[in-house]
Amino acid sequence: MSLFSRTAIAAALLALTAPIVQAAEHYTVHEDHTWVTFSINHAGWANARGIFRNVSGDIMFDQENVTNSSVSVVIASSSLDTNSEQRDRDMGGADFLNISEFPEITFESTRIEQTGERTAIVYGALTMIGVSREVALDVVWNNEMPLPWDASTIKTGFSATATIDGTNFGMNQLVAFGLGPKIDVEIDLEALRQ
Amino acid sequence: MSGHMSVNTLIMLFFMPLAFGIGLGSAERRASVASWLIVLAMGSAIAAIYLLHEGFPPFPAISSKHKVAYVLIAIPLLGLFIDKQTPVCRTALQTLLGVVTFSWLIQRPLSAGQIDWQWLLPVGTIFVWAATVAKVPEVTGSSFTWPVTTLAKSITASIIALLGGFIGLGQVLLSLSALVGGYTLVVFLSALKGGPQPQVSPMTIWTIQSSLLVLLVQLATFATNLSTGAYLLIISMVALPFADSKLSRLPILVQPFAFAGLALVAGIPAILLALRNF
Repeated sequence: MSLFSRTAIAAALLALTAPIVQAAEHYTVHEDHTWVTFSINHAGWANARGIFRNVSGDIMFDQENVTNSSVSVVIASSSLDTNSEQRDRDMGGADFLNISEFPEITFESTRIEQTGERTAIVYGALTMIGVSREVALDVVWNNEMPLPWDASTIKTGFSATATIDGTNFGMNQLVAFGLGPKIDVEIDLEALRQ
Repeated sequence: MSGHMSVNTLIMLFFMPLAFGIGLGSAERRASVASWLIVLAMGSAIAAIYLLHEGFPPFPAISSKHKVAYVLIAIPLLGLFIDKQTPVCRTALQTLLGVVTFSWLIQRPLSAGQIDWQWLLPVGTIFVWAATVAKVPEVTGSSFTWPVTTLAKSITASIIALLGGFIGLGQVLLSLSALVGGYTLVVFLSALKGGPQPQVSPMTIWTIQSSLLVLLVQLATFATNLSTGAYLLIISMVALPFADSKLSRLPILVQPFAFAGLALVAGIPAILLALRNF
């Protein structure tokens, strides 16, 4: 194959793939309209619940080819709220979230598997207290539409669930406290198209 | 089920370290057992207690808990090295150990621009520790000076850690107290037999002291709900061996109780302050 032919094929491939790359739109997480909550069984009595209040991130969302999308989220560990100041302080300590050393929890998607018209599994690296583990998020794309009072601002929304094991991240004291160690995570997230 | 778990936890937390402390204390009384072996066993027992509670650390260390685990593993090896060293050199090495540990522990928050006023507490601990060890060598007038005061510091620190929200470290310190308690009990039983003051190995005391210093530095640096007043009282307990010159003149069987009584003067208010802060 001549150099000309190879160049022509490469240019054609580039032309074919370029629109796909461009199809992914950039969204930023709307912090005030995002809820990262969790529940963890407390010694069989009840499920203790909590929320992280400060969540930010970026989403590259390709509606035509979801597998071409990606998500990157940062959660401020110190924004934990479990409905008890003392418990929040304890959970932020070195036995659990270790906020002073690891102030952020991050999630970076690595691949996406579409499972339905509006559902997908988003695989990614969840990094918490310095430990990264692969986590699978079951995601539902709920809706996308402009804000009723501002047609130029497009908002999209997702719900996601996942289950993680706290001991996999080094939180061994969970067991001593009769907590979990399985943690059910629920995410409701709205994002604004940029 | 939960009852069985409680018994298992109690055995792991308390009875195993206590039995090990008694075993090591007894072995130290036998001339046939080399002192370096006791140091290695004592230091390894303390490191094992930590690993049992906190799990085995990854390499390289990620969090402060992992760093403390590696420092505790290194201490018995350092203990072997200090065998032939002078008291000045031993003190310098212990102080250096405290400084290096503290610097390593704060590396991550410091690199993120965080500076916490609470860090003055571990710095103060290292300073008072160095001053005390420099003035009162590990082997001194009374055989009980270091074992009893170390036990008092460890018990108080354990309670303050638990009340200060550092449960994992509180449990480690509780197990360390059981280990040192077992060791101290053997020293006391030796004194009961009469005769001269029972000997305690400076290397063993150095190893226990160094491990406790590292754990106190960790406590003061990272406990989220630490009572400053309670911790300052622990620092005052670090200086208890200064009473050696006075208390070692008492009858030998009174000495451990005299040291314990003196420790309570700081220990009880420390616990009360921590309870108030809880």
